[in-house]
Amino acid sequence: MATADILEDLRKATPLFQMALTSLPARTEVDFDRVFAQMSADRPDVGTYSRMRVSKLCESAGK
Amino acid sequence: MRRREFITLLGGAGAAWPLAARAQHAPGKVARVGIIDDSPSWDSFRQRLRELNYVEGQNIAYVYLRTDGSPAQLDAAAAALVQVPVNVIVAFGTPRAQAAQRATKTIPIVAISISDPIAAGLVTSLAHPVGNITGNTILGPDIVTKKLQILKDAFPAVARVAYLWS
Repeated sequence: MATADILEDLRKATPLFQMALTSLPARTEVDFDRVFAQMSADRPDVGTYSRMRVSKLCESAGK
Repeated sequence: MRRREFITLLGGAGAAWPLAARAQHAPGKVARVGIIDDSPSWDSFRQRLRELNYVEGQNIAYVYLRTDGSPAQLDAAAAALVQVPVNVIVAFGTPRAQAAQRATKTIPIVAISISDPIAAGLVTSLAHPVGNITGNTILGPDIVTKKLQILKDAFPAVARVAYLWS
């Protein structure tokens, strides 16, 4: 299932469960500081992520 | 086993498809659980079984087989578990689950963290799986809504969801 499809499904489904969705794109390693700062400032109740690609970025950032 | 217990047992963040096959466990017998490629991921699995009074050395035994992840070794490991025989095979990830599926049509298989069980050919339906395979899935068609539903059931106060993606 493509990330865009997941995002679209989340956008449609979250209101059904009285939830608000925050989309946090992180396409490069430098995006992570911005994304985590945003989450720290505006803390969500739960986080989810597109597993494979973000995992690869995490691995890359750790090198 | 109820659905919520099943999800907790596996520690999965995804959705579970209903339990279609169960390992039979009679009092006084040792249940043999076959695991291909042991890893720390299984610690919570074993811990939860201990909490359910499945104590290693008393009424449960784990049979571990390691592979290099190649299809040939996965098939060989799955076939070896069938030969033991084990009472249930638990498989983390699609390749291991598919190897177990190729090895047996009768021994129950619990497939964990599967991207898309239908596309992988493990089951024909998440709602009504047939055969000897059950488990959970992390991503797949129609799963997003189900994940949110499970999340809301477990934590009704959750209102703000962040999605990190690339």
